[in-house]
Amino acid sequence: MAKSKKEIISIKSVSKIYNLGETVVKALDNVSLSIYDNDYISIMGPSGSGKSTLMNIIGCLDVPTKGKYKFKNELISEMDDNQLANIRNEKIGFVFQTFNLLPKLNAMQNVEVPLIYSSLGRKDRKERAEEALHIVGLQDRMTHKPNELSGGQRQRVAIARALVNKPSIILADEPTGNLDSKSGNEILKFFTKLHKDGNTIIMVTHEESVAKLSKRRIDIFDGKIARDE
Amino acid sequence: MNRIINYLIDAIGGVLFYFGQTKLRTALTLMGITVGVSSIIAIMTVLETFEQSTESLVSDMKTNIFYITKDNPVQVQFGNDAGWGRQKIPRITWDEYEQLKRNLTLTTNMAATTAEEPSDRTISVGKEELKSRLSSFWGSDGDVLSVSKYDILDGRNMQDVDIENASRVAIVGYYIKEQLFPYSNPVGQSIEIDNIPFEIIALTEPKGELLGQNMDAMIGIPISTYIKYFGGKGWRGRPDLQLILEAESMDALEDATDEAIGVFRAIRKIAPGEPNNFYIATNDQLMDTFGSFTSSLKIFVGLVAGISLIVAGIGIANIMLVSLTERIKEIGIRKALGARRIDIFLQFLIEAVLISVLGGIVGIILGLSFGNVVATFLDQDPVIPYEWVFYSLQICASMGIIFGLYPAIRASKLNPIDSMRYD
Repeated sequence: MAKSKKEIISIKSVSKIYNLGETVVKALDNVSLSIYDNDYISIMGPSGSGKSTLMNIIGCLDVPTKGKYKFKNELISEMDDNQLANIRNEKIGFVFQTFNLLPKLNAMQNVEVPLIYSSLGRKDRKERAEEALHIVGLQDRMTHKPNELSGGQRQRVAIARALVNKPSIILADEPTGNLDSKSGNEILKFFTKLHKDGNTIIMVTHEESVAKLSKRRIDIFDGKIARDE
Repeated sequence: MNRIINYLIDAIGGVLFYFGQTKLRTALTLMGITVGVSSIIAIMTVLETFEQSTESLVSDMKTNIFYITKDNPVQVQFGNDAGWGRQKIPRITWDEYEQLKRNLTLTTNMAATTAEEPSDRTISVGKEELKSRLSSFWGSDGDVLSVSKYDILDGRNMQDVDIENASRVAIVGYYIKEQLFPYSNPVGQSIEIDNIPFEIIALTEPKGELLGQNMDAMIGIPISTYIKYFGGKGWRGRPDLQLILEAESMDALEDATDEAIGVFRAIRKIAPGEPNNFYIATNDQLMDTFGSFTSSLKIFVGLVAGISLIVAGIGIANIMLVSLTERIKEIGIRKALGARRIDIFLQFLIEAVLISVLGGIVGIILGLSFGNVVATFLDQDPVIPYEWVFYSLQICASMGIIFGLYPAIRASKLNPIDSMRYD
C-alpha cells in the first residue's frame, strides 16, 4: 500500500449495532480502515457479512454507533442529517446495482440531479452534465429516458451522475450485478479507466473476477475485516 | 437563490410528469379546487357587474333627492319573511302627499309617481300593436324626465295644465318610435294605451339598456290622468305612490329628510317611539342598502366556497400522500445524491402549491367566463374582479401550503437507505 498517498478516509474502531427488540445485531464490529487518494478497492464478503453496512457508513448514508469516521479530516460520525447530505452531494459519487435512475427524467436530467442540490446555475448544470455524459460516451443519448436505454447504458448514465459533482470517491455497490457479462466488462473497463484518470474507487462485489481488477481487496466476515491487502 | 430556482424547475417538471402519469386522479383532485374557486369568481364577477351598473345609475341621479316609499326600494328578500309585516304598511295616498306638500318647508320640489314596471298595458297605433311589454309605464306630476336623466329629443315636457286637467298626453321612449312610428315623427300623433287615445307630446333620446331592462320601452303620462284612467276605483286612494323630494342642496339634504320624516309621522299619527311605517331613502342610502346586500351575499358565498375549498384541500393532502408512497424510492435516491430534508420538504410543498394554484387558475378562467357570460346576458360590460382573482390565488397557494405540509414533512423525514430499497 502506498502510504505516501494522501489519506481521504479514516475509520477508527467503528461499530454499527442494530437493536431489533430482543436481539442485538452487530453489523460492524470494531472496524478500522484507511482509504487513500486514487485507491481502487473492492470490498468482498458473503451476504450478511456487514459489507453493505460498511458501504453505507463510508457513503455517509448512515453513521456508526461507536468509533470515529473522518472524511478528509471532517468528523462524519458526529454529523447531522443535513451535513451528511452535503458531504454525499459534494464528495461522494454513488453507482448502484439497480442503477437507481429516476424514470421520469431523461439521461441528461438524471445526471443533473446531484447538481440541483448544489448551488449551481442552470447553464453550468447543463454544461457539467453534458461533460459527464461525454466522458461515459453517451453524448448522443442525452434525451433518452432510462426505459429507452440498455442496461449497460443505464449504468453509464449512473456513472456520469456519480462523476458530475467531481467527487473525492466513487462508491459502487455491485455495479455489474444487474448486467450481462459483455456490458459488465465494459463497465469494469470504465472503472479501470476512471482509476487511471486519478479517481478513488470503492466497489462492493461478490465476484472474484471483479475483485481481481482492483488494486486493494478488503474481505469482511461477521462484521470484521478478515483480509486487507 | 440558484438552489430555489433549481427546485422550482425540478418541481414543475415533476408535477407535469406526475400529471401525465395520473391524469384522471389529478383531474379529480383539481376539480375540487376548480369548483370552489370558479364559484367565488363567477359570483364576484356578477356582483361587480351589478355594483358597477348601480353606481353609474345612482350617480346619474341627482344627489340632493330623496324618496318616501311604502316598500324598501332596494331590499332583496330571501323567501317572504316580511310577508305579514308588509300587510300592515299602508300605501302612500294622494291625501298624504298633498298634506306633506303643504307642510314641508325645506323641500324645494316634490313629485308623486306611480309606476308599473314592467307594464302589460296594450299599446297600439291604429291596428299596429306593440309586441313586447313596456319596461315602465308611469304617471307623475313632476319632472320625472330630469330626475331619471331622460333628455327630450323632440316635443315638450308635461306642464301643470296637463296635470290639472288630467290631459291625455304621453311622453314616449325611443323604442316606441322605432316599433310603432318607424318612418315618422311620433310627436303630435296619437297612441292608444289600453284603447284610450293619447296625444304624444314628447319623444326621449335613446338610453339603451340597464340591468337587462330596455329603458326606451317607456311611456309616461300625468299622474292625474293615470289615476283617472288606470287607477281603479276611488281615484284618490288606490295607486301606491312613490314620492320624490328634492332638498335645496346636498348640505340641506339631512335637514330636509328629518323634516319630511317628522311631518309624515305626524300625518300618519305615529306615536313617539313607534317605528316608521314607510321608508325614506336618499341615493346614498340606496347604495348602502345595495352594498350591505352584496356584502352579505359575499360572506355567504365565501362560506360555501370556503367549505368546498377545505374539502378540496383534503383531496390535495390525499393525493400528496399517495404521491409520497409512490415515490419513496425516488426520495431515497434524491437523498443519497445529496438532497437535504429541506430540499425534499420544499419539493413536495412546491408540488402541492403548484397543484392547487393550477386548479385555482382553471377555476378563475371558468368563473370569469361564466360570470361575464351572465354579465353580457344582462347587457353589462365585462369585468374582471382583480381583487378576488388575487385573493383566490392567495387562498389556493395557502391551501397548497397547509394541506401539503404534512405529506412534505413525512417525505422529508424518510431514511435514504430504507427508501432506496422500497419497491
